[in-house]
Amino acid sequence: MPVLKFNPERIMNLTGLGINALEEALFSLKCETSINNENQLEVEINPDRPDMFIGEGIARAVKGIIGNEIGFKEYDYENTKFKLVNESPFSRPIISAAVIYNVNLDNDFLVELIQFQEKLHEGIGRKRRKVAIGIHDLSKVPSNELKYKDVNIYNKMVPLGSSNYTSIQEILKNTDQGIKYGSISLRGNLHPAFISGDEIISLPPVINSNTTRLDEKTRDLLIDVTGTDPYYVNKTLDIIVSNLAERKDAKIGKVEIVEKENIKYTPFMEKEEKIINPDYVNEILGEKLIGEEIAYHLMRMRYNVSLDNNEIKVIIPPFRADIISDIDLIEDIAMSIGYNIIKPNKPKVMLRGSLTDMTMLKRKIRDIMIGLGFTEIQSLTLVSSRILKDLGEQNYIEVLNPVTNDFDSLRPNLFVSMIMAMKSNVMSSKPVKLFEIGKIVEKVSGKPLDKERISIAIMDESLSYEDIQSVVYSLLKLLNLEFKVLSSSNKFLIKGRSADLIINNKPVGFFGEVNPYILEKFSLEYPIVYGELDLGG
Amino acid sequence: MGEERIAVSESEYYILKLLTDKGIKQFKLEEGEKLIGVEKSKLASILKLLESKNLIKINENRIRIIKLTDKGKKVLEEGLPEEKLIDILKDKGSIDIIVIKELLKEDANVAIGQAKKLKIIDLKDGKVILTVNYNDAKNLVNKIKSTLQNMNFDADTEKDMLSRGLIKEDYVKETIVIVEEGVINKVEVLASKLTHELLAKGIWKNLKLREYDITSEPPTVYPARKHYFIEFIEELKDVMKELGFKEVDGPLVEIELFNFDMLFQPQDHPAREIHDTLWIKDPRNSDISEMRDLVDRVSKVHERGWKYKFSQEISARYVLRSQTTSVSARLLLNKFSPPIRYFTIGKVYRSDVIDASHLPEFHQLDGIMGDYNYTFKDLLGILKEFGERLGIEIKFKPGYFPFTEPSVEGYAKINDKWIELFGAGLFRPEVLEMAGIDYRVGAWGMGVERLIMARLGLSDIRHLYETNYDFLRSFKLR
Repeated sequence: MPVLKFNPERIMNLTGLGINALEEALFSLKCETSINNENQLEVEINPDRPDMFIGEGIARAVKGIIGNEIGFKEYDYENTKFKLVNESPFSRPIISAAVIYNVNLDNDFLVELIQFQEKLHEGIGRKRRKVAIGIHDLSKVPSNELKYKDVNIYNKMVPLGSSNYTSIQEILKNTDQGIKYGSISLRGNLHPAFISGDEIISLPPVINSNTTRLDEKTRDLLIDVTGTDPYYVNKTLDIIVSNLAERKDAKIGKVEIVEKENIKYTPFMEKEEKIINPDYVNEILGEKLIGEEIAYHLMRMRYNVSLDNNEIKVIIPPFRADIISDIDLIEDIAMSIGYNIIKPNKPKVMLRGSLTDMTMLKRKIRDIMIGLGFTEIQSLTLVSSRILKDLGEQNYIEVLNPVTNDFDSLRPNLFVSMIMAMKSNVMSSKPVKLFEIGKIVEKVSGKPLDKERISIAIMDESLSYEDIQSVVYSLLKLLNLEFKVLSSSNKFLIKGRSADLIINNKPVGFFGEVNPYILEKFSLEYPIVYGELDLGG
Repeated sequence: MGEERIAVSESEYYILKLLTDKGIKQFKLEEGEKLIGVEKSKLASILKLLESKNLIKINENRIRIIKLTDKGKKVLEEGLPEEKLIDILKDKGSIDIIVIKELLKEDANVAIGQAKKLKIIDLKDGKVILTVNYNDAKNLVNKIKSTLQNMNFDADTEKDMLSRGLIKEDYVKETIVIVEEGVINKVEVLASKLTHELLAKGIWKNLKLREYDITSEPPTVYPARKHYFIEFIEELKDVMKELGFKEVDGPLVEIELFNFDMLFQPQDHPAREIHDTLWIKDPRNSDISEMRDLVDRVSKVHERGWKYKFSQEISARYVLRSQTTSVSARLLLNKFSPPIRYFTIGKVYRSDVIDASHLPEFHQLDGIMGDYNYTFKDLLGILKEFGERLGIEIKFKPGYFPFTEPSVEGYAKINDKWIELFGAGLFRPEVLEMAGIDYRVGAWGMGVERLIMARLGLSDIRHLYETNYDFLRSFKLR
């Protein structure tokens, strides 16, 4: 979940709340907060609310839920002289742009703006693949004539943080950003570029140009948003613009975008409308709210609302990206009421609960094993393929992208876990008597299949076949199972001192003395007797 | 209670009881072994102990005895000197003293002296004369001889024999054990523990068990133990059952269709990328051709809701399940008639690097409940109830999950700290549409590890997988 850092003073100023009231309001807006070591306010914001990834957005939501401001305002905008010709680069054909006047950056806000941009890239932008954002100092943009098109990578630009013209090819190869994002939109020798006059001012989704670099004196901004999906490109631009427009005196400027014969003006600042029925709201929440109450809650959540004959028309502000269905509005209504204000219904319907047969069987077996003096362990189902190979295993499921080699496979038996457990018990008081009931995963006709099994082991100064045989027999007899044994050729056990267990003519397990060859591999200098039984799928 | 009894050991008691049973009041120690069948040295030491407790008396007497001397033995073989004398005098009645001395040599004087004392001879004119009939004299001498043979003398004779050096005095020791009447009733047995023998022999009736220093440390013993983590999972299962939920289970290796798609998680969602989702090497995909209708429905809902191109190949990919909600997703397809309540507890996998609070696998509990008129308040109600059954105070915070709306996060107050405990919500209409269900369903999912760690006061998640025998057996409950 995205964690964002803010200067607490700034957020308190924007919201007009003290720190405790602020944290409480944020909690009821899904956000967990804390103050970190550097005295920053850390806010965990859910990915469904990218509009809150910056102070202005947080303030808007907070002022709503505490009832200080309701509904959303229509921001002023004017047309500009900027004209953007979109030649629809092959790999990334969509672009929208906006100008915002009087944003008036300062140190704090610059840091926050970059954080805003980064978090949008990660979430809604899907790590820049779907959406990427370029923010420019308007006063440094060379020309009103803007172009978005594929350019040859031999073209040059001044990448952010540099003062030299460098070829795109080199930028992709040599800069951190190039290495990380360079392959997303590159097709052959072509890469999308955002051009002002003759100057490449951004190389979406990789890097901006140093020419239009932001600094703490920047007043006005030009913003480009590029991507593969028109909905998300425009939604992202709407979110950015509606937050920056919350700045004092800020004004939105529209950019003319020409795509072949089509002309459009962005940002769209698109407002969706939904009609919601109070009955449906009450049905979901189990409340008895009247239309006016619902309308008020929605306005506190910064929707604009009109009430008409018990039908509520909800106008969804352009900065909300998470309203897919009516149900999403209902959650906002519930949040406005307060999750801890809503009175839970004590469960009334009586239903008969039950546990699976496997759970019941496992409980019986655990009782018997405790009675036989064995202590229970539990271990991870993920093990190392290195150990499985040591044990001569072949038929197991390997993880394609493990975090570490120590946990790159699912165990195909419990033996591997038990032998590791015994390894941790070389110094323990003997005899060490352990059992585990757990899942293993096998490949059965090429498909992964998991099964419950039990493993039983004793480690002591001296042991023999009967030490495990007696335990296995006792367990099976107490479970009232009829079984047979056959001489085993299990690779973990000593031939002639081990048995396969047969129930209903099917092999269901094995037990006997562990082969010293294996003990030696695991540096175990005490004899071990072992049994492993299938409990079923 | 009566008077204070005297404590005796089990073996002391055993001896007293034998003596009492046999009615023995007094015996010589030397005869004890034969008398009561206990080996002599053992018997002696036990009797000493009994004596020290004043339960018996042991008298040691010095007894004077008379023994034959070598000379006496010789005399008994060869005859008394006076006997030899009268035998010489038998025929002649009178013999010259010189001849007598010649015949009897060194015995001559003693023989004459003794015979004179017996008044059976006389000395006259240098001759020894038998003054009585030979047979009478012989009888007299034989009488003396037989007292020597029988070692049975009157005081004079004894004195005489002593002075003649035929016998001598000696002293021997004699140990007499005296058992007082009814002594058995004065004692009780002091035992370190009850034994089968004490019970079988009836000794327990007179038994006093030795008192312990009850504050001293006993030896350490450990029981075989069930694992505390699994015990907690079983406790959770019981709570769920009590709340009317039926337990179900589902596969660990799942397909993305159930792990993500059915849960309305868009296919390009960051959680579905390589850094968060664990895929398997072989096979990569499952055959989902038999689920065509479902996949089409899922595809349609995704494309409408998330505005992207849905890929059925992604749906077919195997993953290590990242949430047990996949089990709930499968369950919905069964279209059980409501009201329904189901739950599952099992392992899930995440792409986490191991540290004190992360393991690549952990347990989740997932519950769903549904009905036609099911509401958000019903959901909050069961969550609150769940908390109460576990003895935890719960508070709610709005949350975000792709598959529920409204979504809620539950915080639990544990050790005075609010910790995030579960996520819940009503399944989105899109999820129900994909499953083809026409009633509402609430769902909740909870990581189990965090709760048990808080409960047990563990700071390192790896302790939940500790396999050290001594640690497990000595693990203290809270």
